[in-house]
Amino acid sequence: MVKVSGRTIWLVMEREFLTRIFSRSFLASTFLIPAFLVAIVVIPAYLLPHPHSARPPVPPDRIAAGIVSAAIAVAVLLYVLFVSLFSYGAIVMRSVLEEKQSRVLEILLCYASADELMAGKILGVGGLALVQVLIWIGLGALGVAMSTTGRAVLAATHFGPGALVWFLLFEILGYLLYSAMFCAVGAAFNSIDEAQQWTFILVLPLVATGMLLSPVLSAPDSASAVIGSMVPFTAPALMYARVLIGSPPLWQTMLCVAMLIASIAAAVRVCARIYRVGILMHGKRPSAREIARWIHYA
Amino acid sequence: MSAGVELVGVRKSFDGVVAVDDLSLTIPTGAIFGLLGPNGAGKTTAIRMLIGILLPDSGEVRIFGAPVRRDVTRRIGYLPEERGLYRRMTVEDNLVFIGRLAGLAARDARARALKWARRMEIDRWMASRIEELSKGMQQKVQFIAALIHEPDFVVMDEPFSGLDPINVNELNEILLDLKRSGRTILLSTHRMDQAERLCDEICLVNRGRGVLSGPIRQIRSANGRCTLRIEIEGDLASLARFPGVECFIDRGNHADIILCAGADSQDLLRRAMRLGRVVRFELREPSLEDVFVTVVGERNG
Repeated sequence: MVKVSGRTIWLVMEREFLTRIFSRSFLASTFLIPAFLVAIVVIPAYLLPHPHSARPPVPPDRIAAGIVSAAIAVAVLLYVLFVSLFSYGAIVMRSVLEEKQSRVLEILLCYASADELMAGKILGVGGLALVQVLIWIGLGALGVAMSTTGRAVLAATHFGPGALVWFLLFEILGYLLYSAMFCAVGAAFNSIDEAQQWTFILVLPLVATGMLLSPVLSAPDSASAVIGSMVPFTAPALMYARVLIGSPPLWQTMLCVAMLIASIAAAVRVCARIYRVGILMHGKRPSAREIARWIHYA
Repeated sequence: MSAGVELVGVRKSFDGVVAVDDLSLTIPTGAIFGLLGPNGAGKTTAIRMLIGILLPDSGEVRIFGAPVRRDVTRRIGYLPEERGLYRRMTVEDNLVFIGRLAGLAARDARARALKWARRMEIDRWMASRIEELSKGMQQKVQFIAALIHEPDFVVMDEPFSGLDPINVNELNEILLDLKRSGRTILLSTHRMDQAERLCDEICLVNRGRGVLSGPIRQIRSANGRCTLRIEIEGDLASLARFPGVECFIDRGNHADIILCAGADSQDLLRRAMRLGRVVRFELREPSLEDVFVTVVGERNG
């Protein structure tokens, strides 16, 4: 086994992070997505007839309003988790393809191992995702602190700091799982077009997550919800949904986290092999069978 | 000259297709070594094994006596065949990143990037993105990326492609400068004229195997067939029966003769002098290109 250099991983990570953090697309997504979400929540409130112009609010309405805003808060958190898993995975894939297409990789490989490059890339883009999420959390906290509506929504949801801790945990675990796979897809093919079929396959579990979300939210302890929140590919969002609105037994969340970690370890191992071979392959689009062979001989 | 860089009986196949087969070459320290051959001959695979990107299936690679490891590959500077830079990063950021990856401290990388950029006259473009530069300028940046950490072993895969004649000359100067400062240089190229001008030794690769290797002059005289143009006041045709003549073309007043490999042109001259007064005796040495075409043509035809 080749010795891995922390400095090399750090350099690769630093480049991934710094070239993107000040980019227009990062700033746009960081500030436009929350603005969009706020608009979705706020604009309907103005379109509805104003409650206190007609009559003073009564408890049942407030309970209903609380449920609605709690549901919106849950939806927002899940949406953010969901979107960032996919969009940052795709950034990792594009970054691999860029290096492969421009042949920068051949120079990098003189001085760094494939494993170091892959680790640096995943961690660098992951750092970017984390910064974005932290900015969003900061903006959310600011919103809650500065407006009475915000405080009311927070009170209605009963979210404690635990909601954020679990969010970060599932965000990080989900990102590691998906980014490793996106990394392998980027390395195996020569262009985004070629990679499309496999990107689609990677998106399928995310789509399944989206489709399972509302059944899970309405019956968080049903058998399908429990299974869905255990399968590593759908676990990050589904288990998080269960944690947010219900209280799954501790052994289930622990088992889920343990299985996620185990599958991350397996995915990284397999994907690193595909990456190692794939980045030097140019020309013909490899078949699934060829890729399987790379896993064996890498 | 001590053995600087060596491939010893190296073999590499991909999915059963042999790319390099039992290839051995020795690049003396301080020499410019040409790796020549047609497309698909296995040059790039050989280079990738030399710089540690690929591991050979069998055989050995030694760089300055040591197996290829990280501490050794940091002494290598590599210019890939196709341009390898981050298109959306600036010239300076590209160079500093690669320099640091090759082991330099950030400050040294910056200073050296600037020094080289001045020498190559692209320092005005340090803050421009790669995609904004012309092909020739991008190639200069690529050059600096290969040389920024002052490598002892410089590997350049097709460095002349896409360069105008002025830049080619500039590049030649730099390569000769590197040689004078004791660096070992491997040059892979199709351009025989450049190889002929620059290289001390060459290895001709065809279908994954080393076909010819050695000092350039030796290869030319051992494999090339000299073309002779001869004119005598006497019977030209009888020269055709001379044992070393492979091909005799009677052109009326004079004749063109191609000698067999190894035949001595001076023997032919003595013979011609016995036939009559020699008016013209012109010896044209084979170019590397002639050798290349003959050897590769014979084996592939």
